[in-house]
Amino acid sequence: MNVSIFFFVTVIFLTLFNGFNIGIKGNYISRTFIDLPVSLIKSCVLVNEESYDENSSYFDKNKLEENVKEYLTINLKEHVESYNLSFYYFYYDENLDLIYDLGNYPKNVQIHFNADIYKNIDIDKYLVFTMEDLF
Amino acid sequence: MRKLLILFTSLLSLTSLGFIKKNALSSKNYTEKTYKAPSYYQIKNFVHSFDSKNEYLVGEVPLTIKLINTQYYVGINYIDKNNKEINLIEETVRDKVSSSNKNYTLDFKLPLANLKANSKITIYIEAPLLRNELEITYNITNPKEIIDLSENNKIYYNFEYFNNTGKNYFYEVVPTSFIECEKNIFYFDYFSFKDFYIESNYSNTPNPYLYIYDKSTLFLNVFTTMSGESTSKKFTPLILTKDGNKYYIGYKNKIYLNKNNNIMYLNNLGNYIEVEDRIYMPSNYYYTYKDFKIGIYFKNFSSFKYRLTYEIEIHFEENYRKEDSVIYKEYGYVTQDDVLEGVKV
Repeated sequence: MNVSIFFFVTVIFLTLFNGFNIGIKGNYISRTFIDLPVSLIKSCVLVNEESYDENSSYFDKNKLEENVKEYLTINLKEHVESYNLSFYYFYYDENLDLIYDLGNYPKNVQIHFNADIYKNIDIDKYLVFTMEDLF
Repeated sequence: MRKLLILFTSLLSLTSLGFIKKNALSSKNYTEKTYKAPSYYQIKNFVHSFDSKNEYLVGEVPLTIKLINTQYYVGINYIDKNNKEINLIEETVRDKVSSSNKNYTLDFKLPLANLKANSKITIYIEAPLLRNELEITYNITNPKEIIDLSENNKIYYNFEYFNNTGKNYFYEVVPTSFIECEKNIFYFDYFSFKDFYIESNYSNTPNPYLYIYDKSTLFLNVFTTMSGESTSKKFTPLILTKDGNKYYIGYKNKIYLNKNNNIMYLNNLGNYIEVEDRIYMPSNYYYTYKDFKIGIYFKNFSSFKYRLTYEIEIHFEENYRKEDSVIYKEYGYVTQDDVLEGVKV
């Protein structure tokens, strides 16, 4: 009887302990993505010099994706072996419908992050960065 | 015995004086020190110079040994930039000479990057009862030092160079250390040179060039209109303005940028963007920033001795129009109709 109780308590304790560790790890990974700095995105802004009289800033897709991957890889190196990422560039038309932006001068991007932290447990988060011209 | 010793020493001293007089040079770029017993050996045609890439001080000291059975040691030492005494070479000579071949040459190759300003290099020849030294004194400033990155994204680069050799060769100033400063530099769109001057006591300073060196051909496409002497460098001539003993170097060119192909031209061949007094570096080429260098290149110094002092101020300017927009960050999604791709850490 005492052995059974001891075994039961040990299993409960180990489960709680593992759960605690998974929680800590998951929280760190989640915060890393959520805390993606705006300055990192801002450094990917270019100006369309062809339309010199108007302000037409846009995101450099290559630079933006490279920067985000570098940031995540450096900060998640000890925590995951891989993660999943997607970059969805978009704009709204006159009817406010969401349109996937295939052009070279995107002003809006959704970054979708997904990572497995333990067996069937994963983290799934989104961030949206939009650019607005002041003039 | 004591009288014999005094006589011997006096004879040695007199012989030394004779040696110094015979070998005095009218224009020395090295100093001689502590000569004793030159009847043991003779030095002829001691030469030293910088190699073609200005990375090494190279030279040779040819000795003719007169007393071949005496154990000689020859060597070179110097104080490096960390104030540490370095013994570059030490060799014994006795096994290398014979009665039929009394000539021995001490070759040396000294990396300039290890030297500090006003470095003193000592070549010594040592045998029992004597030590003879030749001291070479150069005023060299390591061109890779003295890089400061100020708060205003400027780099100040001071350099002094004394040419005491009277040799004719090329020199490049390569301020590459800024690449290791801060990563912020990679996100700037322009860099420009401003307010730098060269001071020289040589009246006919040759034309300097601003050059850009880049391993990646992608970046060089931007500057295909600039002439260059090598495939890896592009040069643009600089304007010299003389004011007394000073020459001010200006970079004033109008260059036209074709945004369609990111190539810069000297003439406006279409609806190009005019860029003045700066090197326009499209920020989508920032990946290549780690591999590029900018510098000042002087060609064909004359054989006169001179001193050059130059200061360079390099500005990194962010594309000001970036401030005309603001970035908003939001949590959440606008669509779930996207495709994830795996990234390995």
